[in-house]
Amino acid sequence: MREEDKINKAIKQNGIDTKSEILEELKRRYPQYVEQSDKKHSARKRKFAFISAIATIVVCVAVIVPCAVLLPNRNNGTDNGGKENIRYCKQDEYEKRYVQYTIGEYRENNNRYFLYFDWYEFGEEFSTVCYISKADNEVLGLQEQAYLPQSDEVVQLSITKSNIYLSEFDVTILDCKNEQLIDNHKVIWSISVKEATCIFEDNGYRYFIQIEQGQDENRLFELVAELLETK
Amino acid sequence: MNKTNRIKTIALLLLCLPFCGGWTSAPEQDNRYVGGELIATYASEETISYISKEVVADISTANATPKYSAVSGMENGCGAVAGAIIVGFYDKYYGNLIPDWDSYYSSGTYRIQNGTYVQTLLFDLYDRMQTNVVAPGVSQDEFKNGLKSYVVDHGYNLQYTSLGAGNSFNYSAFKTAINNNQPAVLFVKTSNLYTYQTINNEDVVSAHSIGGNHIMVAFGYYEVKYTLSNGTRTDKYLKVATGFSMNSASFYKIGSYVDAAYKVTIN
Repeated sequence: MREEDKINKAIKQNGIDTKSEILEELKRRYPQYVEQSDKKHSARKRKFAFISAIATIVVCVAVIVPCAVLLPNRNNGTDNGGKENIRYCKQDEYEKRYVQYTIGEYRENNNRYFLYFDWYEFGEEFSTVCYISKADNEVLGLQEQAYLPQSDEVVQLSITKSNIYLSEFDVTILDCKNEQLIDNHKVIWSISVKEATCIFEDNGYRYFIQIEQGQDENRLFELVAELLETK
Repeated sequence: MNKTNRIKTIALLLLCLPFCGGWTSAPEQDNRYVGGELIATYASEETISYISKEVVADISTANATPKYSAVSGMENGCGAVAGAIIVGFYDKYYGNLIPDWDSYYSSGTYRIQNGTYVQTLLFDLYDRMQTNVVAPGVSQDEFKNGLKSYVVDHGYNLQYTSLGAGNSFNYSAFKTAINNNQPAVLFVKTSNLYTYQTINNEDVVSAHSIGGNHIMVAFGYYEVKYTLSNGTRTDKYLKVATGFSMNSASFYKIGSYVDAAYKVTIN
């Protein structure tokens, strides 16, 4: 079977998203073939353009809708958290540094108003990591882990401004497909091989809470409620 | 050119070829493993609508593995992270592997990645594996020698037992290793990791791409059998510690190509 036929067969067998992906891959691998093919077959070209347009619309909707859902409060932020342009940072654009201060101390010393777990009295082994932009040394996010001996669990809280996206959170955002409403906040969550994770936004900040395997989503919801109670 | 000279010329060219970088089919041993990150592939999802679902096996090593990931200054450090996960795992049983620090709480749960002790371990392995010295990342030999030298220098022995390579991964031997509480190290090319979400009696399986040749620690296996409207299907995965911060564990599909896989035994 020729390469073209294989791809056409694959296109017929798959959905629209996969189709556009395959077409993109085809263009990337065989740009010359695609151009020639389009010139030779104007009818096919029109059909291709129509399918591409539909696929583009579907892909756009698939990207824009989750973004709109994930950014419900982006214009209501404090610290200008929600009023700045969207900033997407790839892994090589920032670094992660262990810091000696806690998230609570950072908040107090820098007049920030994000939510945090005041677990320093009863937790153990706090480990705080700061995400720092290599370009301008801006703090892009904070992450704190603590061991809670009473429940024998490690809880991790990550915070970014709502307008900042760090690439290492992409998959987590994508995988959180379940939804729960807690105190008028839309919480999306997932349970994976070893971790349960949820994400929500409040007042210009995005929060990621992650706990180790063995816990269920109800424990996540408790932690979200606990965090929101600190407002 | 007479026949003798022609033969000499050909012989000379053949002798020179290895020094010219002319080999196009380098053995897997020469691959470099650089890590990268998990890339969200927005269109790679499969929804499995089932009548019923049975988890046939969901087995892990005791308390899985520690959750360690690279820190600043560890470019291409997936080898050191995988090595540290192995060392952290075995520190529970051989306490001097990480001096003056226990990698676990009294409940058995693995401790949080420590900014002092684990960071020291990571950079020690990073150096021992000669990360980025010859070329970016590490080779299989650099990884294996670096990890072994660390373990031996701390008073223990380490053995690697091959679990196959290419498309011939020995799943049966791997399961035996896991059942005996022994993790394995996987050397993989750019490939997919999978996550599962169950929503309204449907399983959504998402594939996410690893951005480069990578080294991971396999700590369990998962088998699920679906009864569908038109038959049955059984999906089988390895559970892997990825070395990534946010997605520290994921599924790796049985049958996916692996450059090499080794059971790691420390005693």
